[in-house]
Amino acid sequence: MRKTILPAFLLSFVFVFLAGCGKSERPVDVAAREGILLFGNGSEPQGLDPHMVTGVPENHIISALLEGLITYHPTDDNLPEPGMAERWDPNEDYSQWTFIIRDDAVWNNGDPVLASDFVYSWQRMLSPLFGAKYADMLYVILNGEQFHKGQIENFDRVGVKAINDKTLQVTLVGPTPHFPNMLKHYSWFPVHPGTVEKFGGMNEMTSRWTLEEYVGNGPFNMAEWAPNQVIRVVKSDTYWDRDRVQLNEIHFRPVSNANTEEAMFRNGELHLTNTLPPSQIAIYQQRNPEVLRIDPYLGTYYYRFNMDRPPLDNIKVRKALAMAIDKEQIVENITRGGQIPATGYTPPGMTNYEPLDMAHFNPERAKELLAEAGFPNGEGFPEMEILFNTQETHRAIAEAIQNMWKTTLGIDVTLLNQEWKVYIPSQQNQDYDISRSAWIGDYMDPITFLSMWTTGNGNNNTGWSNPTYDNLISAIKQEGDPEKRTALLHKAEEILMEDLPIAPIYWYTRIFLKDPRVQGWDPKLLDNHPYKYVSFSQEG
Amino acid sequence: MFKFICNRLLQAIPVLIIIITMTFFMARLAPGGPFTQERNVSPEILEAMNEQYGLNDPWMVQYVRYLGSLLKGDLGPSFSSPGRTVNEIIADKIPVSLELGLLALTFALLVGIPVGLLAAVMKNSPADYIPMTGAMIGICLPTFVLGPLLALTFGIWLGWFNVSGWFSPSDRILPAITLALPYAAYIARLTRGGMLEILSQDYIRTARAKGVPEWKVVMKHAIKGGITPVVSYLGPAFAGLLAGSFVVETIFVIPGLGRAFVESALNRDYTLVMGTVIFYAVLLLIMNLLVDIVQVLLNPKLKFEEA
Repeated sequence: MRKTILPAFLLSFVFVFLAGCGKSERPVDVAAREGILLFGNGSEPQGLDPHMVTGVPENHIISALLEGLITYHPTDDNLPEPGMAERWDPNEDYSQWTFIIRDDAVWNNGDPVLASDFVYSWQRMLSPLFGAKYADMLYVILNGEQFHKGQIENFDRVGVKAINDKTLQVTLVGPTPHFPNMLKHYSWFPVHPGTVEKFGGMNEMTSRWTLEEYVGNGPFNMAEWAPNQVIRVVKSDTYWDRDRVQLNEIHFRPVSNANTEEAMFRNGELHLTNTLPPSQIAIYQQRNPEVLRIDPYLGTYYYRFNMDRPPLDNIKVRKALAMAIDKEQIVENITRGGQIPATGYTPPGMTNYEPLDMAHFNPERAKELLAEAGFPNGEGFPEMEILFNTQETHRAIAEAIQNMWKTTLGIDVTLLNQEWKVYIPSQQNQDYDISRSAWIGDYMDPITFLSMWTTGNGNNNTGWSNPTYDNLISAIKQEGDPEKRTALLHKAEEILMEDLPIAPIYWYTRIFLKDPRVQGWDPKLLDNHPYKYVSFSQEG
Repeated sequence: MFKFICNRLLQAIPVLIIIITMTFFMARLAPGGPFTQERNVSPEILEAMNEQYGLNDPWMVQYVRYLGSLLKGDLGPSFSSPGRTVNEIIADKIPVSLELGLLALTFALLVGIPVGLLAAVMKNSPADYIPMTGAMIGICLPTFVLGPLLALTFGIWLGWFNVSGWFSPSDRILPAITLALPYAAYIARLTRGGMLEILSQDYIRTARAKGVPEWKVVMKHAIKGGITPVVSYLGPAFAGLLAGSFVVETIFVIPGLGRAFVESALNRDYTLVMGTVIFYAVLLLIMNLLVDIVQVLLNPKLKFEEA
């Protein structure tokens, strides 16, 4: 008996201790009362310099800290919303734009935001020594590409000029009616020149200004950056539209594990999650539909065909493979998050651009085409491999397609998964047969989807080359009439869908959980939710 | 003893050099690089970035340069977090990992040793079978099952804890227990085995024959020798708790070194890979040294010269 005393004592100690830790109020309740948004933000940001980063979590934080000339509209991504610029005017063919910066636009250290700050920032983006990964976004500026490639050394020759302190004039390579939509992207955001200079100058790649002295011009200021833990931003009292800002703070929590995030939401530790595991969607639809959000998202999930590997160079083979994919079944049984089977490449939702209705599931025609290509019932078809980056859903989709091709076409493919940093070079070096891919639009214009398929484009990676397509894309970049431009865009995409170097599978949705108290979080195709419009409702 | 320590430290140097060299080249042999990303980066930008981080030089040049800065204690800049240095990242995460590791180790010992003692003393009784079956399950149950299970029970159902973060003291409990349970189970088995061996020794029989009370036999005479296996396990266990906390850190969103270690490899953050590997290697070497010293102190049969 005596010998059991010690463990029993220890056990009771543990239980007393545990019982003492009971919580009375959940963190989300306290935070909602205090105007603090608890936001699940995916992975830890790699940085917060708008000119360095490329990721979505980074974008979420940067758009709280900085603001560009034009910013995201709270409900419709097609519409421009004045940011640092209070108004703007294009010339007749949209190739030159003048921006008037508002008088009350200031940096949070008190300095006014000047037109020259944008000139400085864009020079930094285009500086060949700095290595901004999104530098090609600015190639739309006259001579921007030449400066970035070192063919021009004098930045004065690049089409951006500060006419005076508050007037910025931008000359573009050609007519660009969608320029305001491009400007919303963080690669166009200004940085505070004085601060960047203080921390090593515009070409300093390892600058510490974002870590030590984040001077911003956005609705929130950086308060704390605890890596892998939390990034805390607090309401700015120098922001020009501060009266509209209702949140006092936002806490960005980097949670890379979707199951953990879901548990955090359930346990009252987050108002918003970044995502939701597919297996949980049905459960939430049934039990808690009021917290589940499924919003359309400007992205396409597709398979690339390596055109340099026969028989994938045969258009009939590509068509047969694409037509044998039952997309309906994939979105209903695997992804299960309201994704739309893709009938074209460019996703729906952009004004004046109807998505194509071309790529359909047609098993009978697929069989015929494969027979015409010389492989009746798949006989003699060489063994092919589907490459995908290691992830559960990608595997499930690949297995489904493997099965569809087997039953419909009688061909055998094998699956190959690679870790992300192995998969990317495989794809970029065209070291694959068929490869799982995805593209998320950077701004609201079909060209962000279509320009990548020109011959030799760094994001093409299929070996596909069609001179008519290339000419059309060049023509689009010179077309000032919006209607004609849309017609050209459609024509280009029709060629892409006719030649099928890729098989579109579905258009993305954003699936996440949202506390019903959070207001002003409207469905947005680019998933940008201007925080100044976000608030908590009173009840609850 | 001083000579012994010096000897062991000298032996550690070649081991470290081999580890550093192998890690350095293996990291670079892996496909992809720190700047590999889905959206294609133009060759000009890639060139500029490689130049900045000295990745354009031949590997041998990079290697010698790395060793040079390492001698000065400089682990270099991180590739995946521009502006931060590896020294800074590791220094930032060590306190978290140490705290988590120490808490877990304490818990593992507090649970494992008493359970093992009890099982040994009451050999072949339910007090032996039940905890030992539990221990076997504890060893087998992976942390990625145990963690969410504990989070579900004590977080979501009972509402006692947060299921994420590293903010308040109560945030430490679930991760520490998750991390500790498999170790506690193993320690319990080690204790039981060690005690059983000692309890069958002659000097224990002598003590019992002299009428020493049973609790005194166990707690005074037997325990010192009985827990020797546990002591030698402590070094690797502590290092394992520190380095093996990746899953627990991911499940509970803890900013520790385990995550930095795994993610650095996934990101091809060469310098951070090197930094964390060196840190863990040094830690393991020191832990083993400490264990050897403690073992000699505990066991009069061993001498420093022989150990």
